[in-house]
Amino acid sequence: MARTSQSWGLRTLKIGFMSLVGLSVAFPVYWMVITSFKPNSEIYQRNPTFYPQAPTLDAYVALMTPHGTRAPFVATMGNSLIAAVGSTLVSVIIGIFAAYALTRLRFRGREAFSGLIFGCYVFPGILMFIPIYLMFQWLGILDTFFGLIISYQIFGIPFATWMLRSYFATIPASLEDSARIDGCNRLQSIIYVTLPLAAPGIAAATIFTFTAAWNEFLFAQVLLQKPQYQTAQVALYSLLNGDSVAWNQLMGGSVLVSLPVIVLFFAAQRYIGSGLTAGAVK
Amino acid sequence: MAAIEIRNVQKSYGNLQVIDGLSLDIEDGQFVALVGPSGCGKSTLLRMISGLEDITDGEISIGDRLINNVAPKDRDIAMVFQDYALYPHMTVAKNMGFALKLAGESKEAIADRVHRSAKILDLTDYLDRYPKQLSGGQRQRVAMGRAIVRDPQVFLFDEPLSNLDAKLRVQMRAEIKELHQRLATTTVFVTHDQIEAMTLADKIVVMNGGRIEQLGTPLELYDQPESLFVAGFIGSPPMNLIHGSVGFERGRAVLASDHGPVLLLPDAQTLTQGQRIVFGFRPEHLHIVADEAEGAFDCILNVIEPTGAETQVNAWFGPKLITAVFRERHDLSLRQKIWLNIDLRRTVLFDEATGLRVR
Repeated sequence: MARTSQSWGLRTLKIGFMSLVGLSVAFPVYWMVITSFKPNSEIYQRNPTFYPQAPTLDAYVALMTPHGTRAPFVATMGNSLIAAVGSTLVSVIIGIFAAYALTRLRFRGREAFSGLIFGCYVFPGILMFIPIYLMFQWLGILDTFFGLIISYQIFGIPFATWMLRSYFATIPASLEDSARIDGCNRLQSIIYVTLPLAAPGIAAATIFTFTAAWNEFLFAQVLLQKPQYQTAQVALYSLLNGDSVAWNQLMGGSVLVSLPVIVLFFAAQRYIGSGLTAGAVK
Repeated sequence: MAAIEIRNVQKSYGNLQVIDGLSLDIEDGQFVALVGPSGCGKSTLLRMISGLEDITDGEISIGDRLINNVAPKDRDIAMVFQDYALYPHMTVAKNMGFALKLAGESKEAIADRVHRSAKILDLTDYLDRYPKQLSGGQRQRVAMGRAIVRDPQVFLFDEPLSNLDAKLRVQMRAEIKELHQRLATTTVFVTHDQIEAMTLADKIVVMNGGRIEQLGTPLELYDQPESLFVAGFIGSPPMNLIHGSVGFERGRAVLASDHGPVLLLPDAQTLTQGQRIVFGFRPEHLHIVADEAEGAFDCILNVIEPTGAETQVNAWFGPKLITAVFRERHDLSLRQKIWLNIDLRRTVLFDEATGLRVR
């Protein structure tokens, strides 16, 4: 009897704790969504309302209308998409071959090189943006998506390589040996055998590099000065510049920016899970 | 089918020499087993034949073709790996047909050859399954199917049975033997299990430290080991090896064993008084005799293991345990003193210092 009540108590405690954590995660999201549907007058009321009294799409309409130097928000999202997709493709493709080389080929300095990649990955990007700005200026690639995509490789390639390396290590090398005897050259053995088996790892690396690039603010702000290249993150920030902040627009923009990432995560949830586990056990 | 010729092959990783000037001829259609302890270079040699490892020096030919610089895919070989190495994302049929597809065979030809091979290996019902849906034995069979479907000149097996349980291993061993009798394809089989080598191979190559220790038919190796290493490696239970010094009593060579009684030695031309030797005799060449018969010695029974067909015993020979196997039934009990006689015609002598056979 005592045991039952004790485990009941423990259960309640667990559920209570998880509800608290769940609530603290979900509430800001809920607040963001409902705020985006409120008129600004309601937001600035003395007593906050927990659901929109008079739901309106005004904030979204305003976002889509160009304002000052700010492009329509959907255009800035398009810019973000170009930067994020471009950067993800480059990171993941280079990451795949780098990770393959680091797990499968024997060469002098392999371990040192692996360590160096990890070092790059953990090095704070903020320390580099001034030298990178100067370098890009010299190269004449400021205010180009190309330049931004290159700058995203600073964290993208090391991240994708590191993640895929631990995934590739879980794929038995004998499968590639077998493929090479079956008639593949090395590249074919990668394409027919290694890549299909590494699909979960590649999906996970893709999602994480995409999210990192999509959410990136600092380099996008510094390297792209022209309004027509503004990314969504920078556009969101520009909404804060003004005498009165249009919170409903800021939250509406936040909702729109979250959507692609949420969709991507749900679509690939299965892969991310297995991708992470595979990396964790090695 | 083709013969394999290995000439003075060397392999080193940096300063570490793994294979040291090894030469070996494998005849067309022969089944050769490479055996030896872990790290003896047997798998490396197999991988060099397959082309998965480069050769540091020397030459390997298959048929009349030098293949040193030929890619694995162009060597016309098939290999079965220890962990099967089945492609997990392909069905059994796709796994078996993969090499043919890469070779540009038509779909019909692939299907036909896959079905024929599947029939030989009793895999027809499993062609649409994925490797994870198969048992260990079935996976092993698919791995073999993938090899035979290509009808290669040479089969290479890299410890293919070591992941199977004991019963399945015996069954698959028989299947491999039957397959070889049927296809008569030149086969190189790597194993650390000397029973596998003995039962399967026409010729066994015992390797040790990157070189060939001895090469011969299974029974040659069993009866006439040329070194202590081979004597200890081939045979289960292993050969009894007694260290001691040579002496002469009434004109006959005897062994003053280090810890036990004096033993009669077989006639050998080269023995000298006081020479340090190792006397080797197989467990089944010991016989129980009436006490103090000519040449008999006594020992105390320590363990008795009847298996029905034969009885294996461990007995104290001084402070050393020796093993004997009797096919006849004896009334034996633990700690009993028994008298044993060695069949001297079947014994071997080794020089203690060099480990080599003394004749």
